[in-house]
Amino acid sequence: MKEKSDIERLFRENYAAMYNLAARMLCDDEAAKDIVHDVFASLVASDMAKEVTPVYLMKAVRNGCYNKVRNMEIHRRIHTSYLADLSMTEAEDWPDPVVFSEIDAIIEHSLTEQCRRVIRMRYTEGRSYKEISSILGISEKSVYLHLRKGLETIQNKIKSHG
Amino acid sequence: MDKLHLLFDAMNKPGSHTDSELHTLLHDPDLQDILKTAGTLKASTYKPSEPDIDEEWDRFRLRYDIKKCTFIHFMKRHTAAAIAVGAFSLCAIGAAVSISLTSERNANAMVTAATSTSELMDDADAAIAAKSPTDTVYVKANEGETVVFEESTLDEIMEALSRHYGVTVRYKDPHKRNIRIHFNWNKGMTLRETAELLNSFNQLSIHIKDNTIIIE
Repeated sequence: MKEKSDIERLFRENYAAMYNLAARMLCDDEAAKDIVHDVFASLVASDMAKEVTPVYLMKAVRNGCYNKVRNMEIHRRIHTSYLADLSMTEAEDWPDPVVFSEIDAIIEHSLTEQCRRVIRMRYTEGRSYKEISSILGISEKSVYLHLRKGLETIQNKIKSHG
Repeated sequence: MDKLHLLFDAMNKPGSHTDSELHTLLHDPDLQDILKTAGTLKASTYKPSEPDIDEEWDRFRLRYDIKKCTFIHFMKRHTAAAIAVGAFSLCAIGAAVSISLTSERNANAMVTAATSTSELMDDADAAIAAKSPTDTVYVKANEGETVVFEESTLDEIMEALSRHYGVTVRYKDPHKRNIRIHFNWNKGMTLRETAELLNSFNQLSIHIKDNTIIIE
C-alpha cells in the first residue's frame, strides 16, 4: 500500500533533477513543471511509489517531454529549435553542465564579435532575424550567414573535443 | 537555395513553408547534425528558474490530492454503488456530491484533452504516414536491455510486451491501437513498472488485471 510519505519523499528527492531535464528539453518552466507533476500523478494512482527509481522517473520525464514536442504543431517545433532527436538526451548525464559550459566558451572565444552577438540575440534572447538585422544594421541574409557560421563552428568544435 | 539555407529560412519563417517541406527538413539526414547543434545550443542557453520545491510540493498536493485521486478512481468504477452508499447519511451524501462534482470536472477535462490530443494525433499520423517508411516497431536495441520504439503504434509496443511478459492485451477503445508514441522500454522492468511508465503519457490509461493488459 502506498504511503503519502513515499510520494513526498520521491518528489522532494527527485524534483529538481526532473524539472531541470524537462525545462532544458522544453525551454519552458511552466510546461516542465506540468510534465513533472504528471509523472508523480501517475504514481499517486498506483502502488509503485516504493518501487520506482530515479532512472525510471527521469525516463518518464524524458518520454513525456518528447511526446509533448512531437505532438506540437510542426511550425512551432522548427521555429523554437526543439531538440529534434531524443537520443541526444538519453545519456544519464544530459543535460551535462560540462557540455553547456563548453558551448558557452566556444561562443565567447571562437566566434567573431558580430557572430557572437547574432547567436546570443537569436538563441538567448529569442529574437527574429528581422529584429536582429534591425538592431545590428545588417541584412537578414547576413544574420543567416552569421548563424550558419556560428552553429557550424560550435558543431565542429564539439566534435573535435569528442 | 541549398538545404541548409532552406532550414535556416524555415527556422526564421516557418509559416512560409508547407508542413510537408518542414517535415522533410526535420528528417533530412544531412541536416541532423545542425539540428542537434541548434537544439543543444537552445537548451544550453535556456536558464530555468530555480524551483521552490516546498511550493511545488504544495501545488502538487492541491492539484493531485492523493486521497481524492484514489477516491475518484474508485468512484469512476463504482459510481452506482457509491451513490447508494451516499444515501445512508447526510454527511456521506455531502461527500459523494462533492467528489462526484470533482470527478465530473475531471472527466470533462479528460474529454477536452482527449479531443485535442486526437486532433493532434490525426495531424501527426497524417504527417508521419507521408514522411517515410522507416517508422517500424523499433529501430535499435541498446547496449543494455533497452528497446527504443520510435513513433511506434501502441499496437506494436503492446505486441512486444505481450510476447516478453506472456500476457494478453485488451483494448476497451480500439482507436488507441493507432496512437503513436516514442517509448524507451527497459526489458528488465516488471510489467507493472512498464505499464506505469506508459501511463505517464497523458493519452494512455493502462491497467493490469489477471495476466491481461487493459487499455482504456
